[in-house]
Amino acid sequence: MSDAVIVATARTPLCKSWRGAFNMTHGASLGAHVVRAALTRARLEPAEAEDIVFGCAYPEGATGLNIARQIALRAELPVTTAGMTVNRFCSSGLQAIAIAAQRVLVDRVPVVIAGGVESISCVQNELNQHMLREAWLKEHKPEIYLPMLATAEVVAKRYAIGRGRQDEYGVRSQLRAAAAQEAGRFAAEIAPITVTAGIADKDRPAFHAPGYGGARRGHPPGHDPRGCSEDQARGPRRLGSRRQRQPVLRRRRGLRGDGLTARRAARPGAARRIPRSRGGRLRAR
Amino acid sequence: MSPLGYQVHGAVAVITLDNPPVNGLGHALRQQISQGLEAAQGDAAVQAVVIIGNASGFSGGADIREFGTPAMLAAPVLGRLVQELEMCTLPVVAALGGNAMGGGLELALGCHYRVAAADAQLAMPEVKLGLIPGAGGTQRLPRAVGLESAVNMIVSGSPVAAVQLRDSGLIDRLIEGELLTGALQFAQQIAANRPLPLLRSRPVRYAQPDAFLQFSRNTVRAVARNLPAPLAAIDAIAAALGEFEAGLKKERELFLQLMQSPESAGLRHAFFAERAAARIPDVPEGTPAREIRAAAVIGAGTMGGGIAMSLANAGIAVTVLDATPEALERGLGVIRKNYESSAKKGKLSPAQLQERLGLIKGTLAYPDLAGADIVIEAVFEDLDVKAKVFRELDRVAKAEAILATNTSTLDVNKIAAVTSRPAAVLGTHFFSPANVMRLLEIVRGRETSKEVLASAMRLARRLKKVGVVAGVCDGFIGNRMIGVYGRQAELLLLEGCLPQQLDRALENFGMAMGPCRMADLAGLDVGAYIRRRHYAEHPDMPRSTIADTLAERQRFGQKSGAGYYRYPSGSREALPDPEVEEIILAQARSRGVARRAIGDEEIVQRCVFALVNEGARILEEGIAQRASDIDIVYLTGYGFPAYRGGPMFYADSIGLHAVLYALRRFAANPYADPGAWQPAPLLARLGSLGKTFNDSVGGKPT
Repeated sequence: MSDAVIVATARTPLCKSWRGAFNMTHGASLGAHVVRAALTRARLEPAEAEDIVFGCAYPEGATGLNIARQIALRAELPVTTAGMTVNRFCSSGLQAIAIAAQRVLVDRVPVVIAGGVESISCVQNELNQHMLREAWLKEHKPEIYLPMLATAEVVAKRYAIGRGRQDEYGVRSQLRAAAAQEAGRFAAEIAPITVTAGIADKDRPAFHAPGYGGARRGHPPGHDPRGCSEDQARGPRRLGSRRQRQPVLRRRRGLRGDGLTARRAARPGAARRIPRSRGGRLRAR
Repeated sequence: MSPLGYQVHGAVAVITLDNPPVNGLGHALRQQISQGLEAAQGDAAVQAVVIIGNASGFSGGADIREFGTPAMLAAPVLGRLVQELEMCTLPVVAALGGNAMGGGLELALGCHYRVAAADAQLAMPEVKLGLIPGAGGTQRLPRAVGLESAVNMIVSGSPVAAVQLRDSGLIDRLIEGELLTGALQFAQQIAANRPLPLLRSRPVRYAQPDAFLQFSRNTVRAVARNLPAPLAAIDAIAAALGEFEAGLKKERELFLQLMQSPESAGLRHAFFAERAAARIPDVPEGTPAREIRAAAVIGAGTMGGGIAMSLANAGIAVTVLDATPEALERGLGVIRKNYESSAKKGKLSPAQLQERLGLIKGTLAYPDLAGADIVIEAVFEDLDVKAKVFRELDRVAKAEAILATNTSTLDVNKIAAVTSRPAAVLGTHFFSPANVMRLLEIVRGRETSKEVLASAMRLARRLKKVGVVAGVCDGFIGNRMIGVYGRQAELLLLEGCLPQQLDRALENFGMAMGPCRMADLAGLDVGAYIRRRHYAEHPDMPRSTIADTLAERQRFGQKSGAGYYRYPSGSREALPDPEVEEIILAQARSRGVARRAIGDEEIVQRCVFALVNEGARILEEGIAQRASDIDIVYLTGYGFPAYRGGPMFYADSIGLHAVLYALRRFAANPYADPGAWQPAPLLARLGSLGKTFNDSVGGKPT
């Protein structure tokens, strides 16, 4: 069996939700920006990509319809490049990479682009609430509708993960992010982007939304040691994938996705997605 | 005969707006413009029309004296007039000088061209009255200045100088020099151009308008809590992205909805109330007032310093006197620090900083106050201490000086009586911080002369404050009412609330701060000091034991790091404190109170209706001149939400009958103070007649 390899990656910076620089940027623009950047880094022609798979946890509104296909077109890939949007909530982007790898391994597709896109700023407060919950599920499996923070509370209680350990974890995570930023490690990942953002400016009568001059560098979540939950912000991440002699960044060998029962799912590391060959070392960058 | 304000200059007809004081677009003026347009179009010699204001500016907008009257709806209504301008077969040029506000700007937007003096101030301030522009402004302004600027102007209501909009479709030319001359010149130049440009046919171009509009909504929702108008403005502007006539219809719908909203009624009441407060029934407009060039302040404490800054900010030289060099030095140091921090924030230029500091001088000697036109005493709140100061002042102050006391509760008549010139004495009750808060209660003593009173009112205006006349009583208007409000807060804590619930309920109602947070800010020692005097004067009055206990334990509020809340290491964040809960529970136990869960509605009603009932007594006793004065005191001095119009207006808007009903219910509470819920006779009378404190809801206070 041939290998699926990752040959280039790119991501946008990560900004604050709602008040951050991406609060007026459409998902297709975000996604297209990193697709272009990754193609350039991989020294590939746009037309070489046969398919593009993007994961998205809220595939609606500014990241709605078939957002992957929109990203392809916005990145000026030819109309012959197909597009697929994947949803598996928080692991949507990871699943997109898995599917892309499968496409390479099974279908012998030469080049597939995979990524993830999410815009908390533009989507989360604008969700379509119509018939959001199904009556039978609500009665028999209400946990399916638990929000993330409530789920975290259940996990913390069930597995007796005290506030102290959570804080410790949070602080470590923040310190690592700060150190990584200090060491300039994000610089190589990030594809700087210029966007127009809505800004509420206290020193002016109301608010203005001028275009940001110049590129904005991404930054990790703030260095606030209190911060234990994920910073509410995402830009998309994406990976290009092809079978060819290129610097290999990651080797992919299949992925098992288990639909777990709600009880089992509510544990650290929730849905298990373990590469069959290499116990859990899969990481998207 | 040509219509009023209509003149022809060569080939250009000029329509001059002239309706003092601000060229409000009342019915007569609207008719006049319409007739002017007709005359111009009927005159073959006329090739263009210029519309221009008078010395006071272009137009302040709709004549809000017409609100709620048939004149407002009399033809031509403003929206129709704007369309007449658009349909005029001759080019119409609006010449904007001074202010072009609201309806005035909407009128200009209907013209084919606009020229302006660089410093002309343009605004759509309707939102400040809980409204949106209603004559096409939300549709034409975005077409003229773009989506972002239109949102900013309409949602903030703040004025923008014409020069800032010079590159937009709003301004066709900035005029240097004489406005009419420039406008005539411009009119001649464009007279032959066809087709006539219309803003209504320009599209609004914006890359991702829904993104910006939603961002704006989210931002506005967060800052304009409880206010429907700013959000409605964005919805109306959003309609400007579509077809023009449909947008106009949307604007009209939203405007009419807002006109009916209680929030707009409250804001309009507040607007009129502020203007009404300046009138004193027996002191006519033209009463001579004394010139105030130099002032003195006695006491360099927090209040004295704030008052001195407030005077210096208005360009008045101030001498600050304190008893000891240390106190004086400390006080002047604080003033300097405050000004320097403003300068650092860019609010003051270095020159302004020097000028203000230069206006304030310190002294330890009373004779140095001899030159002051007004002396404001701000020493410790004790009758004997104040009397001593006034005896001294009586000796040194010049004959025509005004002697004012900044007492918040004491008897101004008694203070006046220690001087040989009680006619020159009055109370000027500033609110802390005195250089920031807009309210100034002006306490009229029994002997205070009309001239002195008029001078103090004029000084209030100069200090950019709202002067409200109050009669002499313990606490005047504001603090007398806050007494019963605070008493309800105490009882609610005793009967079942905790400070955080109490505050949250009243803050959700719209108060800037709940009673416990407010007490912590003002200082619990101050309240305890006043209560001690009250206990001594009225031995039978019920004790506020929770507040007293907190003060006894040196919990003085923010300044001591603990009051109703705790404030860790100098922070201003109020955190719930278990010790306070213990105190409250212990008090309830010792007094045999069976605590219960109390709903937010009861909290709000008991606190606010206590204000209303006391306000009714104040009104009836003549301490306040009119109900709307009480409202303005609460709006500008106590953080009452403007969109509710003040306590008296709020009572009017829900109906005095309903207030009386609630009072009866509260009177049945076993822990109520005896007689506290006895309706004030005025309230009972008006309630039974179905009348209101303010003349009419949404209308003008008398």
